[in-house]
Amino acid sequence: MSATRLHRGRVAAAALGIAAVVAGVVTAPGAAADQCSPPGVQSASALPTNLAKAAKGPDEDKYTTATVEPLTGVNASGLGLGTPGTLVVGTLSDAPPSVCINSAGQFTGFDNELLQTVAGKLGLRVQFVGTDFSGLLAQVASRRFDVGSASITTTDARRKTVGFTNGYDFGYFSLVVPPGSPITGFDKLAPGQRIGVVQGTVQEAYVVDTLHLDPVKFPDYNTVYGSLKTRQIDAWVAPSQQALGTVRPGDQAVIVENTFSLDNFVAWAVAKENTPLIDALNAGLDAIIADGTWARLYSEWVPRALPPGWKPGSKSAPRPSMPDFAAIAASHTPRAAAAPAPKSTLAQLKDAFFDWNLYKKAIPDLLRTGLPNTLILAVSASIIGVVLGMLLAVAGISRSRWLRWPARVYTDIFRGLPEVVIILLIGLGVGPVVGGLTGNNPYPLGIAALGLMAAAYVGEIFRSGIQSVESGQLEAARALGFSYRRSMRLVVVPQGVRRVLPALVNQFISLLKASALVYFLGLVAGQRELFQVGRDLNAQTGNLSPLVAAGLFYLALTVPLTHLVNYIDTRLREGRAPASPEDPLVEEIV
Amino acid sequence: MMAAVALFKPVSLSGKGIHLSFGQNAVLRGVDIDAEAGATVAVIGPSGSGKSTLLRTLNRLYEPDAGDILLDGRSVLKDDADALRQRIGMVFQNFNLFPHRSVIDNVMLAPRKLKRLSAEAARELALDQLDRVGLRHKADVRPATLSGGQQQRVAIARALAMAPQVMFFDEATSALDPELVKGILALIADLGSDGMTMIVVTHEMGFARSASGTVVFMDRGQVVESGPPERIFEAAQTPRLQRFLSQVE
Repeated sequence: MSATRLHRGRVAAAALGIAAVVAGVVTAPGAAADQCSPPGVQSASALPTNLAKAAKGPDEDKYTTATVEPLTGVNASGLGLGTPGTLVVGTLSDAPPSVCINSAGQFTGFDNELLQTVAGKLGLRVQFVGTDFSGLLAQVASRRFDVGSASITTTDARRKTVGFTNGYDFGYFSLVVPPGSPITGFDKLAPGQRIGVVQGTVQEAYVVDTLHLDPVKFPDYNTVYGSLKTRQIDAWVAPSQQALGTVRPGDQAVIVENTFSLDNFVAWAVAKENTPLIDALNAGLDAIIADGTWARLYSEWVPRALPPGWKPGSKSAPRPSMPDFAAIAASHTPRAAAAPAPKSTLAQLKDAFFDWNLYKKAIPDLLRTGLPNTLILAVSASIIGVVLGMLLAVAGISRSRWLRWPARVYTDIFRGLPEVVIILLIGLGVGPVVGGLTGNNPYPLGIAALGLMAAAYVGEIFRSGIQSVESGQLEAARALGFSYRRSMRLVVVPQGVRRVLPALVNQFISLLKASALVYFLGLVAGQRELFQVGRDLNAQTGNLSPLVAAGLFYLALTVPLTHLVNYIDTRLREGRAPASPEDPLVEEIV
Repeated sequence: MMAAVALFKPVSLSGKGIHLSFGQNAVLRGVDIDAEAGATVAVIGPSGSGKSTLLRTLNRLYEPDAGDILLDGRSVLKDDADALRQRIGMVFQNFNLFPHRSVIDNVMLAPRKLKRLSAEAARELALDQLDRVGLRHKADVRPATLSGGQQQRVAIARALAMAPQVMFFDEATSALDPELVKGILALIADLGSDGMTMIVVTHEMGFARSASGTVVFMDRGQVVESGPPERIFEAAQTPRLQRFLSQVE
């Protein structure tokens, strides 16, 4: 992992405010670089020299507990866990080195490794589930997850939603700008600049509440950083860990300043009322601080000098003994001399989108994990959509207003809401209610949400198809003696459905694409669909090639389907081959 | 064409004082019509006079607001309407064949589903009916590949496959090219001479004159005049019928 270590060393140097571009032998950016592995103590950084002037000064630390209960007093069965003995942990895949998914597809990072050892002290097994930060705290509050582990900075606003343990890490905010930017510090940020933040983060609150500026909000760190590199934004206010983990040599980005706030330490989130679990995690945290585990993991993953006045764990926890990070940092700063020339835009694009090594790496995962899951989601949701859609269509053309009205309202609601909102409403709203039935597995909920949404569209497609059948068809069937119901089933509906088969296939194509949205609900590694597999690898490497690879898989599914539409269309117009005498009356499948 | 003598057990059909309104619009205003067992009744009249609506009311596709319908002398208003329609075959101006099914499937669908015939029996029956209309060789094609005249023949075969006691023809030749009209009219006339009770709504005065036993002239939802064809066509009593005849002939 020497390449990675060098890389870490250089970003640490960047954090010292020297320059973004530093020396070092580097392999091509992105080539097999796993951002989700411990950088090692050699990558240590000293306190940012430009920290003091930006610091707001320590507030009174009112949340850290004075002591903890003894570890022996923890009753493992009284922790209110969804699955006794197992800690279900919601985490993220894209925030190295704190929380991330490694090339082996395992969730790791400093926070998660630390939590593993804490759980070990408590005699608990850990199960990690990847999710999106926007839904993480809500899912912790609703007990979908026992613990949220995502380098979460504690704030008063977040304490209204969830409870927190004592701190195990601390956060600087880093200011990242393109090289040569006139923005050289937080005090240079001004209205009119495009300042990027990830929405829902402490940095967003900092920009809005402390700096009184209006930030540009992004869904995740990769997107905001990509926008900075291509100069679509002027600055990025980042969690320091994120900035360190993401800004790489040759990138068009520099960390110019850091700031720190003592009252917002980094802790694990737990449902507010579950104080037994908070107490137990606090006890475990103090225990691994006392036995040196915290110091070891900290040195491996996030070696930085501790800011003055802060230490992990409760107020009575021992101060961890650690190497002199400042000295280590000082010893490798000279390497930061000769810089590689910045790459041309074209070369950057090629690296970012067409890294063949990453394609080779992504394709097996996409094939084995992503593709089956995408198909399961899309096909199951389609079945729900078609069945429910047919009921909606029949209700929609019914002569009874008591059928027509509910169908109308349903269709208006589910067609009118954005897909993401439906997924979040069903997944996070209905999820806790049916948690017992689904075993907190987000798949049934994701399928249900996609299916309910598809039903609204499919219902309208069916309705238009059925209504396009000439009234003479119904009349002729009824004149033969068929009831209304059988006339519809045997004569009208089959014709209507045939006419809209192309539209139905198109609907299936949009479901294939919409299935990517279930990642909002939190998936374990084996449940990831195409987009999430690509996104995770993209998060590990900071390279867009895995997403392009995922995109190619979508195309491989959707392009043949569009041609199928055309084929069906032609065949419907020209009719099928003559029915064989053995099977003269082919039953309609409706 | 196969002769099918005594294929039918003809029954009589009568409508008594039938009223029907769509909202404010009174379409039928006390219509009386009688078709004796085995008789052919031709219904003529201007567009919008209620002729087609009358047929659809007599087989209860529309339920009459008032009046009575007698089949074989017995009121059928309280019967199951679907069962009633199985006894009355209907042929439409626009054929209304089921385009997603082959010709033979069109003919055998109702016998199979409603009379629960086996696939073989239904197929045999359907082929017999296609024979009657001279289209056995087209059994396995889609209706869309047939000419209008052929499609109407299939529609007649489809109606006859249910072995109806009465046949309705609703302007069955109006959508056909002129050279095809004659064949269809001949087919209908043959059915009549085989003893089928028929009510034929038509614009073909020649057919009404030569092939029907009774002609009914309707205007504005009422029967204005009715009687044997020679009296209707040679000795019209009412000015309205006289004006109508002068316009169509």
